[in-house]
Amino acid sequence: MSSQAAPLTIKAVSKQYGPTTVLDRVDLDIAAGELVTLLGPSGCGKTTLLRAIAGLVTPDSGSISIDGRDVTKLPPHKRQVGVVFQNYALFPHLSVAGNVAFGLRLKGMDAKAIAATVALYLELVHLGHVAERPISALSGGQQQRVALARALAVQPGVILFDEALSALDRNLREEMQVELRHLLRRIGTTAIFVTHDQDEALTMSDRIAVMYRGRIEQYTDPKTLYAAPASLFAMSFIGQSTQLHGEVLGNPAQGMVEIKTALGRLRAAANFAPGSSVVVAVRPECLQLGSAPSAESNAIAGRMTAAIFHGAHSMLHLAAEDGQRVVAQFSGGQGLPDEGSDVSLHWPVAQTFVYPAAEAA
Amino acid sequence: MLSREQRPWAALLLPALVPLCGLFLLPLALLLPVSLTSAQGFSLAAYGKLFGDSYYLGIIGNSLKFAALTTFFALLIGYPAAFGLTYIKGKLRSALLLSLFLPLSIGVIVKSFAWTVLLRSTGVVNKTLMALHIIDEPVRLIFTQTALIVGAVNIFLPFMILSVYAVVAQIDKRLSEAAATLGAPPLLCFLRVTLPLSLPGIVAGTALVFSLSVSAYVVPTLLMGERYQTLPTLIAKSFLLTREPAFGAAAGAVLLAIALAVVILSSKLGKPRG
Repeated sequence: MSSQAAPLTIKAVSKQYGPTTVLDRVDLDIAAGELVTLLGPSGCGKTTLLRAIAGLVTPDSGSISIDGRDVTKLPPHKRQVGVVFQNYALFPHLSVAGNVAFGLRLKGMDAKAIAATVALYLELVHLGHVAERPISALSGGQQQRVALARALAVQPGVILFDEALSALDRNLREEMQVELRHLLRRIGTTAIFVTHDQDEALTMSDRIAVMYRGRIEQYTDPKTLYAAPASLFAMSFIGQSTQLHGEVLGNPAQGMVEIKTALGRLRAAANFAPGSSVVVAVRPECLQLGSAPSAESNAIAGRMTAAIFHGAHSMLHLAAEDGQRVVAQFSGGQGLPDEGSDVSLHWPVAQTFVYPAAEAA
Repeated sequence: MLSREQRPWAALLLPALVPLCGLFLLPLALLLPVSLTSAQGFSLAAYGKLFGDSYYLGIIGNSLKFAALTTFFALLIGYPAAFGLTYIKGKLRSALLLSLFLPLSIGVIVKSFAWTVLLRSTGVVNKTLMALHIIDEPVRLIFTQTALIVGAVNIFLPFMILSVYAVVAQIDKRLSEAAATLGAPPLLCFLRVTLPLSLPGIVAGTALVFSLSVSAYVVPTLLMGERYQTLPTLIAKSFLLTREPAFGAAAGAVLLAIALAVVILSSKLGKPRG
């Protein structure tokens, strides 16, 4: 049952649709057995990149190699790349077992081996009991599993998921994320997910490639991506953040900047010339109540406009004088100041991020 | 037969059903006994004449052959055309669809006469070929079986294209992509996914064109003339010329049986399989 997990290398792949550049010299390296997510908003090029890997789209330039073999010009049926489509694309004229057997028949396996393989993969996705049913008799979650079994059964070197979980309802989706990750690990196949859902990306991936306007903004593991977003877009797209516009006043030390914002002077580790227009960002969970304990912290003050209780945590919303808003997250809901009171917040300078203001455009 | 919920909706069918029953089923019910009657009362003589004489068997054969060939060529031309239509977008598709519907508004007599104008010895085709010195004297085009099939295919083609198109347009293009990623080269993608899914359209178009051409009267009369008899022309002759209502009714019954067989067979074939 083990697949031959294949490494994948994408070099300078570009694709143009009319005047629109969908992929702009994209580079991506994926190790054998790695689970990678292409994350980004709609229109960022992630689906086009996935289709280019499958051979359903031909890049204008650049190259794609799978397992060391250049497949750029190879048609999809010669690539051994499995795809689980967004709407599953199951064959309506075939039964559940017929769908899973489709690729096996093309391989020229004998009937006995096909039946055994079909049974094995249907069991793997817990659908052994519906093998003879027509596709139309299955729920969305079951169809998703059939699509997965069909793609896995031919043992592709790489398996691609095009928003494959997005049609499921929330609870089922979260359950499937964990289960799918476990399953792919067990089989040991290389997998690429395309999604706009950050939770899915964080749950499923060894590495996440954040895509924006046809480029990969950042390609790193989920923890690094969350803790140190390389761009304002990555910062905004994954998790929540407070963002304040400001101007660099000076460099108090090598690699440090002091920034004037509507909420006072803030410091951060960054390299910007004095006078630069920047955006300062901080994650809500980095903020703490009280005045700054040391010189290694940034501090702000404002009026609390809302304290929203979410169960495991609460979100405090602060409004500064000029209307800019700050969001802070605290665990639990006890011992928090009342709405309308004036509060002070501080957070470590090391968790303060600065991006060029041009990126906010 | 009908559930409580279905009954009010079934009433919507009445305006269509009542005239059909009165104008179609009732005359048919009257026609069948006629085919079984002779001067002496009940008799199978009309059927005996029809099936016992090689001349009349030949006429039934003509009808079947004409309908089969027309359907075959309509499918051969119409099936790819229907696929082509699904890949064309926007105004061009609307224009092409309109070009399929417009000829339906021109009577079949007009279209048949148009073919006689094209194909007769002093017609456009012969004149062009002679002007180009490809032929020296007019070739006989009209009143040949080729002319009949060409004309009939032209006239009935829209029914085939529209039937296939209606089904093919509903096929998700990602199914072919899925088949390709599972290792199917283009030909196998077509044979194992697209063709089976388009089968209901093929069956509907085939049933429609076969029924239309097996019962066509004007087309064979104008493009082949009196020499070439088909069941419809035989029926007309029996009632109008030779005054043998029983024989005409029997021929009508055979034509009806052929049409029914085609409809029943096609609805069986067109059923989606699990």
